Amino acid sequence: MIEAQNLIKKYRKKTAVDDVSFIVETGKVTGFLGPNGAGKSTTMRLMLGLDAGSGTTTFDGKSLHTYATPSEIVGILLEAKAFHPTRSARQHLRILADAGGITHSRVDEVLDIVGLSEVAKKKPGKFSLGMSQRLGIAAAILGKPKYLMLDEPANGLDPEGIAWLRQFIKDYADEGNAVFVSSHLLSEMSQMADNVVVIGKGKLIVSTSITDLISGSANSSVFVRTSKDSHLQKLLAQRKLNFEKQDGGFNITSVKTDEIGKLAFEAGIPVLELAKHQVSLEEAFLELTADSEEYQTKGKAKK
Amino acid sequence: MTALIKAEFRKLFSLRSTYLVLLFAFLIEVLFAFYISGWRASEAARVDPGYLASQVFSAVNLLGLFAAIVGVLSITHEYRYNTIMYTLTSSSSRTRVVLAKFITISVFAVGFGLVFGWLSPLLAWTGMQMHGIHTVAQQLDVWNLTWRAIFGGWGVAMFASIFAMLARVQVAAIAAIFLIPGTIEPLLGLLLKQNQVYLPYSSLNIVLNTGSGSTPISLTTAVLVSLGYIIGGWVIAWALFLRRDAN
Repeated sequence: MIEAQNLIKKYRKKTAVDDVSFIVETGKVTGFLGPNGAGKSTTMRLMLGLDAGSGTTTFDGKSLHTYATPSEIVGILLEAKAFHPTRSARQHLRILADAGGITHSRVDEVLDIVGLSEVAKKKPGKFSLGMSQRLGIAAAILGKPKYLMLDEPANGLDPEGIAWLRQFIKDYADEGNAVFVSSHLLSEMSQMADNVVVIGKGKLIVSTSITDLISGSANSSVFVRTSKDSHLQKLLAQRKLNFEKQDGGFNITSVKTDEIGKLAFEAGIPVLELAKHQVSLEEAFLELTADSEEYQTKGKAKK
Repeated sequence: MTALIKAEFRKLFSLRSTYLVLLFAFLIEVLFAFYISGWRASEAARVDPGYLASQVFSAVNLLGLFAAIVGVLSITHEYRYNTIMYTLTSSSSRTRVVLAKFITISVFAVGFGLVFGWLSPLLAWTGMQMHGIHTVAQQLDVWNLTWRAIFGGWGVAMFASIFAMLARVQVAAIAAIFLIPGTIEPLLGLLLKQNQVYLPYSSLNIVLNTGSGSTPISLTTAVLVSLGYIIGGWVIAWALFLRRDAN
């Protein structure tokens, strides 16, 4: 388990990360979400000790730098183009292998995993963003670390690459590891993450499971249609539930389908339709971060 | 620690720039030592018993700059291409990272000073022989020349590495290795007068001084002054490296 506690990073007057604490559970994929400039990358850098700040981050109860070989504990991808452009992909990885006490045979293994074996001798300066991301992923998994920290790993990947990455991340976590991954591709995140940590303007907004995040959204609702509208309306009002009449039925927020079904059954109200309207991760995210957008656009995009 | 040093050497020798710098240094050495000092040796050179010995120091003075450039690149590339984040997360201690860089650049610079220092009189002598020029018997105090060539090459590379560690920006560090010895120290010399010899590059120049006349400070003092700057510079660079953000 990775435990980040009270992380704070200040740049003169601006607080980039403001007392952020959360947990990344082993065996799960934890998504790290936040609008642009929310402090996601800075938080990751603080966790790794790359930036100076306050707070602590422990990996299985110990600071990363108390481990003799940190690259076997955590693998990182914080920037796709973090390599010398004229040093071959294989040499780049061999350097990391040397520094982490990892055998060179593992270098060829990871190049094969990410599909870069054929360009191993090429200079990565000419790689596309997607290929650079793959090289970054190869670097991250080189030491077979228990934890992966990936910052926007899907950027620049083609659809096949994204699908591969999604499966790879899920499989990696299923093997008993933990993956902490930030991404702006919320649909992707909803397909692979078990938990999410959401920050905005440097502050923690929520740290919870995807299921709880979505079902807890104010925009999640239950739609119910009955032949006895007035009876149901009276019942809902009595129970002080938030509802509105819509499409010949009632849209009720902050409630579960089970509760409404049970309620109607006990009151002898026939239910013709009972459906859950669940918001997408994107809707839940936008709702949560509505007040935390650092760089807001002036016009609204058409839906 | 060994793993980090191995990685640093691989960084150094897996880059084209290292080989280009060495090639360029070699070509300049051939031009100056073989052709100008050897093939076209002056009449005065033919009767100077210390002529070939002086070639050792001339080479280190002239080519030390190339060792300095390699030192600068090996540090600033990490920041320019952001590989520093991998370097730091591969190691359990930033101090070890600094130490690994110090050792790697030192070994390179020592080798550089030794090879290019001694290649110079060899090339000069070859040039003279090939052109049929004969000199008086030469005096070569091998150990004295060797340690001073090594110290000179190492010192120049160390000053450059300190600038690189402090500035972290390639252009700034390279500008420093040209401006400080070429402009800033001579300007400060106008104020400091004879005390200029206590400035970093000036003290190092005394170690590589071949002149027969007396120097303002002894060789030992010059070495100690240079060492003081190098140790002090690295201590400051190390202290900042521990505290700064890695970008």
